[in-house]
Amino acid sequence: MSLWDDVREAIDKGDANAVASFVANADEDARKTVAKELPGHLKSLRLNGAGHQILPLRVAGAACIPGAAGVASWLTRRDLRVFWLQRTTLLTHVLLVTRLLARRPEGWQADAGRRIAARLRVTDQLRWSRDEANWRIAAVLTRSAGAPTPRAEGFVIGWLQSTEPGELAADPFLDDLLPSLFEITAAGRALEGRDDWARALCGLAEAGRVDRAVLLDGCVRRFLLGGELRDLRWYADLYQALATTGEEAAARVRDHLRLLPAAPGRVAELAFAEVRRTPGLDDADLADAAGALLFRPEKKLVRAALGWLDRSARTRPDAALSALLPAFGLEALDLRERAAAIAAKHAARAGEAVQEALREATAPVPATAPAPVAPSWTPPAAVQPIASLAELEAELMVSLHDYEQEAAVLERTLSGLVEFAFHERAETIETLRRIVSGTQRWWLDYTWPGIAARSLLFPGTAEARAAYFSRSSVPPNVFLYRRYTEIVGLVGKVPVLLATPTRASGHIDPDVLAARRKRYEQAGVEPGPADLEQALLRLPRDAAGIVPDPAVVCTPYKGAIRARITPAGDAGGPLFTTQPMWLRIDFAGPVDGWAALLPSHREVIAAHLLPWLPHWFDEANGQGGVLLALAEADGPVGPALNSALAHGLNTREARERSGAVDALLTLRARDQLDGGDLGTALAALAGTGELKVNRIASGLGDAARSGAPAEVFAAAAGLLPVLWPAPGERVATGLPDLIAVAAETAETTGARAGIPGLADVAGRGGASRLVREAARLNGLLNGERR
Amino acid sequence: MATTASPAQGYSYPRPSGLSGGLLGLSTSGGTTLAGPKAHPHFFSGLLTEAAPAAAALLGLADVARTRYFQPRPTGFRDPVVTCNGDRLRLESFSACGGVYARLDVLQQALDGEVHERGTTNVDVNGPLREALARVGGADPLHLAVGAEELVVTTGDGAVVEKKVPLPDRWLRGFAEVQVITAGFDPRAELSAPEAVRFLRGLPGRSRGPLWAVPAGQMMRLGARPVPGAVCLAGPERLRTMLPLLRFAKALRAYGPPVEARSGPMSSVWELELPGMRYVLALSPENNRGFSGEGAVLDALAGDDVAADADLLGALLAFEPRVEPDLLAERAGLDAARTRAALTWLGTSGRVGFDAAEAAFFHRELPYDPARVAALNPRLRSARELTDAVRFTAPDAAVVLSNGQERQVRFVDGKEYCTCPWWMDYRGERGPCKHVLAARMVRDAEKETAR
Repeated sequence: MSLWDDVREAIDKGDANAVASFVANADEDARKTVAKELPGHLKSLRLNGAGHQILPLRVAGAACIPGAAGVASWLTRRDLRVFWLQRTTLLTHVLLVTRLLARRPEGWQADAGRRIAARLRVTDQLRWSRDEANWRIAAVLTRSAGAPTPRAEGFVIGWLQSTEPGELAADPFLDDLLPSLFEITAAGRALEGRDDWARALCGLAEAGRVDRAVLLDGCVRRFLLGGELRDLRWYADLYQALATTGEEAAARVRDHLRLLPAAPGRVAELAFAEVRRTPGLDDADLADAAGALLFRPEKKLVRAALGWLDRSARTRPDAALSALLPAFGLEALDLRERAAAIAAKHAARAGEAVQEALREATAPVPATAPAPVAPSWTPPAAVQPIASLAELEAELMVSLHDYEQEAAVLERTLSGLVEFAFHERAETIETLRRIVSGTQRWWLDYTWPGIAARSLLFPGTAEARAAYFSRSSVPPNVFLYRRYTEIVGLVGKVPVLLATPTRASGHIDPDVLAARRKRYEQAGVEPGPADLEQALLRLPRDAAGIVPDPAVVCTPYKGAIRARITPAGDAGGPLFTTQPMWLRIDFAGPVDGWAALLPSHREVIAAHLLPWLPHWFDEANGQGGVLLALAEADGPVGPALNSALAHGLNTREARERSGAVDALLTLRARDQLDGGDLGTALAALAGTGELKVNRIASGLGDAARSGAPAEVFAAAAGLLPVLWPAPGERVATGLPDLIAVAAETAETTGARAGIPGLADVAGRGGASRLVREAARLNGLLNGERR
Repeated sequence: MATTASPAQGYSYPRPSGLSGGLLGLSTSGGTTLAGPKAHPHFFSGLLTEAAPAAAALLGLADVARTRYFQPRPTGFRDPVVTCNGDRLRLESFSACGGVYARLDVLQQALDGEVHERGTTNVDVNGPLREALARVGGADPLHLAVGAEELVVTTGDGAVVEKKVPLPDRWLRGFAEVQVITAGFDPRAELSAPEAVRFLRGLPGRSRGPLWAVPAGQMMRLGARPVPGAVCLAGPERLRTMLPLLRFAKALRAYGPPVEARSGPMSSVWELELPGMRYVLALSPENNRGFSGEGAVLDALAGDDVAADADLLGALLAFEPRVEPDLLAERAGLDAARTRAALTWLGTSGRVGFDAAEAAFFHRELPYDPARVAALNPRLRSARELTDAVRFTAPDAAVVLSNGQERQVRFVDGKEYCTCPWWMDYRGERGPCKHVLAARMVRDAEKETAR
């Protein structure tokens, strides 16, 4: 047997030690033949990153491939890297490989070490189960050859991950790699949460093992290079732990000044602390620093800057008060007032020019009412039926790929299928055959167009699928699926579907409906009961025979409809139940088609949404879209829709929340929004303890600025009285913002309504933002104008 | 993804870029100038009067270049491209994911010095330079030298800098195509500085699905649905590099294509006006969509003579800050439609960029292997290969045999349909598929011969 046969057998058995002993005693030529066979064998094994042959393959390659470059690329091949190894297996493997390589000349080892280090990938070293073996091999080779420490990024990250911080003092790479710690971008990610490293480095600095200045300068340089907070936090922690002396802070103050405007908050705080403790800043630096800090989005930093300017004004009033000027443009009232107080306190000692500038900045600006924005609304567009068989084919093909089609699209496709199946039966069947010529089992089983297609392609198999597919106990879905099931049975038998909407809202033009019924008469067929029922429920409110509105009562959690809603002149099947009992035992499914079920009675649909919305306040389930559809539908707006809107404004997901704002604006444009009623619904939601004031404030603020200020004021006025905190109680996040929205809208609309409890909060005194905003609102409502 | 598999780009700088002693020296690599190719062109020497915003914007540009906004992970860094158009300097970069394009236009008002040459090349950006840029502040001007050998002050040992970064085809194509995609955009909204601050700081960190920025009076509101006049904002976190620039901002402008109530996600352009300069970001329609997959340009490129027209036009360009299509058409003797198509071709070949603020193309030559930049769009190439496999079964219906599968192409009322999976996934929103393109080419050729 040749050496290669032995080695291959050992590889296939997964015996790395055997491989090592075979090749260790072989001569150079025999090893070369093994090296030639390896790539082919590796390929034939198709390892896909796992397999017991990997370790022996690595050993064989390391021992037999002649060149350093060849060994390096062999060991770092994608399919030969090892990520999941037990500690002892890992160390044994590293030992085995490095022992075999130890026979090579020093220069060769140094070269191989450098090449492996250069080929280590940062991402591999950052992974939780990482490529430690190759790092260790590179490290051993480098050290035993006495070569310079590799600085490749992957090697540095590997060093970070593989080194015990407690043993750093004796680490051979420490001095060479320490600077890289502060230069490599990925190091921040690798060190995230590694307090042990920070502690160890502090200890080394204290013991004089590493230079403090290297650490401090490294941190500052790192801050300047920028990045996200998670990449910088470790350095901020280290900097803090090193506790700089006054001189150390002063030596770096120019850099700290530059960090103030744009560094992440935590870093800016740290830099500000250093700037603050440094004496002898000149006036330009003071103004620069204050300008940067006052512009920051973090209130905490702005407040700290104001405090700093207050203190500085004692010794250098002119410079500090000039630096204070940008604060008068701040949005938050309490900060603006604080700035005014500082100015008032020190103005007397300031020079004439500064006093003049302050007077100008604090002078009441004549309220320039922003140009009124009128929300606009265009009536829902007409729905164009599918015009040709080619278009139907395209739509069906789309349904093949899009499993979660919008209800409106789905209904249009089904309607087209019904029409063409009746009028061009043979061609339609041919089209369907072409579509299902591939393997479209899924489509035929799990989509409504597919199940409907069964009626033509495989008669007799559709009903069972439809019955299975339409199981639901959620009333709107029961209603929807009952009609879909019926449609499946109607394919090829009726000329047209009665209930296909003619408007995007779901409405049907009464004339079109009459014409469709005429086609049934001509064809001599009876319409499906569910289809007819749905058609009648989709008549516009001004049509003859429109169903009266049922009474709806609701709480923030459920709506109840105090009457059964059935289309006139029809025996009527089970429509909407009055008790929403299905919650938690069923799944709402997509709700995007609900509004179009009863486009003239939106309260009913809103009431059926209510049980779900409270559970969706952190989720995006399309509730924003359905709220908007309800705003575009018809029928009175009552407690159910107002409650649903309140829930919509309370959603975390920005996209859903803006759907609710769009709905408010649409209602406003149609003159159907009653801010007072919305306020009542919001207050009721607040009573359940699940209202997030900041979300409401942002949504209402958007609506106010986009053209509904009067309604927003009324809503805020209805909500605020239940939100006032007792003295000393924690202020809900966003409450001052909500008061500011109320003030803003009071100002634009000139509202004078009283808000219960407002005067009390406004009179509490103190400089908290809550009290200041309340006082401003109170003043506005009592006729004071800014 | 194996980085070794994609072609690499080599940069060679005589020395690293650096900033010291109040001089910002940007080192140039091989590029094109008015006088032809040059190893290290020298574009500008003089004063940068608005140093702080320029430094901050350069850092933003570098951040875009090193970020992968979709599935973030550490990534290679491609040096920005600088173009000297005579009266202004433009610096461009393109994100690693291929979905965000950034450009800094330093206008005449912020430059006081001498233009030595017009042209395009890469400039070196390195760690020490980033650090030094972060140290720029206050009101003092900086001396700026782009490519001036004798002036560049070196940090470190001043050795020659050789870099090699992977340069995948789709990245390169996206960089070129974004110009043509945004060329049809109109201004949709302009926000004052305070409103810009409020808008950009109020953006959600992430959003599922695209948001639509709706102009409302002097502000913009984020909506969940497309309405006429709105601008699509997909992946609002991709505007993040504007945040550090806000303190210099004078206005924010948004540009986009026309939007209707049923529009799908779209690209958008956001322009932050800074003193003497503009910082521009173009965003792809979705986080996971790069610009290269958008087939918006294919309609103009399908014709046969476009390439020849483009050659003709290309020879007339002279690194103008604004390319005037009428003037160009007259000089080349082409009609307006052919000029437009030829400009699109030049755009996808990386030879013109588009400036939304000026609503005009500008001349620049992407400093990458011209053969690769000019390589035909792969979809167009596939379509040309498919033309033999097109069989018209009716005037408005064709069967295209592709990879053993029959695809049905229909032309209905000016709309096109295809039965391939790609078309079904995007429904024409990313341009025509190769089958539609092939069928269209065959049909147009037949019309031509019939005439």
